[in-house]
Amino acid sequence: MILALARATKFAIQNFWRNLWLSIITVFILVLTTMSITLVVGMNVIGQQIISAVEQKVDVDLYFYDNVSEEQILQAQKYTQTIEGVADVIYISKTDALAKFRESHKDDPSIIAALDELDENVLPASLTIRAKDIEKYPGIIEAFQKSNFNTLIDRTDYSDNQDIINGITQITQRAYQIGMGVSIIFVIIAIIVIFNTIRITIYSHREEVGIMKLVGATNWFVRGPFILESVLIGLISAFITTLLFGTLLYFSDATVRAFFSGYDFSIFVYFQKHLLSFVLAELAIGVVLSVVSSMVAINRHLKT
Amino acid sequence: MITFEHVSKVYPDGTVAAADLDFAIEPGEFVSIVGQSGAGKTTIARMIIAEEKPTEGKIIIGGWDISHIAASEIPVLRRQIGVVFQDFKLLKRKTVAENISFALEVCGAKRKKINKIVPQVLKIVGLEKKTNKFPDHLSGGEQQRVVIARALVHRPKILVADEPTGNLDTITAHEIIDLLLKINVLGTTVVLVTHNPEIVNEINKRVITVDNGTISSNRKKGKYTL
Ligand SMILES: Nc1ncnc2c1ncn2[C@@H]1O[C@H](COP(=O)(O)OP(=O)(O)O)[C@@H](O)[C@H]1O
Ligand SMILES: [Mg+2]
Repeated sequence: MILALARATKFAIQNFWRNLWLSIITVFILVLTTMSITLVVGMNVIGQQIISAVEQKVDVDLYFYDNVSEEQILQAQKYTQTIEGVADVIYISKTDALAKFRESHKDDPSIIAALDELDENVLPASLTIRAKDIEKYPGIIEAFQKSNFNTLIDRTDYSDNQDIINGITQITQRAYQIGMGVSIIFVIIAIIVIFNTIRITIYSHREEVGIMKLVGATNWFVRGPFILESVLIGLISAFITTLLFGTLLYFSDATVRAFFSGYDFSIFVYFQKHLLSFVLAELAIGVVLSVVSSMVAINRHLKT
Repeated sequence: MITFEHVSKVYPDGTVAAADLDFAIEPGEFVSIVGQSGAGKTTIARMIIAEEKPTEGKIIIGGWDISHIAASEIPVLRRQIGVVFQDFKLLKRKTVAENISFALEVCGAKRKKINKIVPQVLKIVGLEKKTNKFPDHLSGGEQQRVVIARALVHRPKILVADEPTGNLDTITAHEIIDLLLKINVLGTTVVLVTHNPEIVNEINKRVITVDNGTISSNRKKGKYTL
């Protein structure tokens, strides 16, 4: 068994070298295919990651009139916490707001100077509401507006992250659709190319195959080398795809990071973290595609 | 050893290549199957090694009914029958020894066994000195000897040779026949398919004559009559 495997492996490697150009083209096509499948899936995963990162930043700020007492605000906070779908309500007092404002403008001396000139804290107190889910916000706002506390509110601020989320969702969905189409085309091309590669290999070994059958080689012994050759093609493709993808992510990391500045997300780090499952997925795509197409060729051209 | 019971073979295109063949070959026999081109000789040889299945009737090899043999059983059968066929030549890129080793390798034989058997069979066919030559550097007769040596690697009980002298001159052809006779003496049942009357007459052993898919004569010590 081990002997058979060793011989079949040797045969497969020899074949790969003997028809080097054919092998390179086959691998190239398979790499394109796995790349495109990976891009589609990867884009979706990354899109999801970014969306959930952005979602965590979405909140609603309720600013109170200046004359509203802290006690009233705390009551409003208590009430808000009971509203269905609310994850968190944070009270930011006038003092807190001022401190925060100072902190975020500390590099802007003119603003700080202007603040110092005022003898009164003009910043309003507020409640920051975080929902468990981005879809809960409209319901929460509605419930709050129906309550008595609504009269205490000066203005409501929705962070405009929703636009970003919609944008990302749209882009990823679009990319997904296009990518799916492209991937399907590549899969079909890959199947045809691998099928033909293995068929050519079988054809160029028809004498050996004939002799093998005649002297009583078992079916698996006859097929093994051809299947192994397709496994080899799949393995090499998976390896190249992983390498290419890693490089691609490494160099595009800075750009993507800049685009989503403020959100702690690095696709390269993400890739590194999931490297093992990534490699396994690439292997699965490459080897499965390759072996399936070669099996079709073998079944059609190696009949007894 | 080989029994055909009312065997018929109709190819998918409707050609009747064998019609109600009925004969038995005993262990240790040397049988020549003769007949004109297209008579159905090769079809018989191919049915013996289960490369074709009979449309009707029974084929029994060493007590084993192979008429409906499963694909997975075919290798077992083939390891008991040595084959010399016209369309299975030597591999040009392999040496004499490599060609013979190949037949053992693909059946999963261990290196040790291969190293033992290859010189043995080369000795039987008298080619010990040509071990490392490539087929193109051998004469037609020598090439045919290598093919016969390859057919012997499994120490088969039966050797089926389809036109082994086909492309050889008379003297070389006789040498090949002598070799087959020698293999027969060593205990292998030999089935020789040929359309060469001269050869058959000289062998002076059993002859089955096929004509148009049927047996026209079956003689214990025969001459080739048409
Ligand atoms: N695979 C095949 N398909 C259809 N007809 C065939 C096939 N092989 C042989 N034949 C036909 O069967 C007949 C017997 O052929 P064959 O056994 O090769 O004869 P021989 O070996 O005596 O010359 C011929 O008419 C031949 O054309
Ligand atoms: Mg013939």
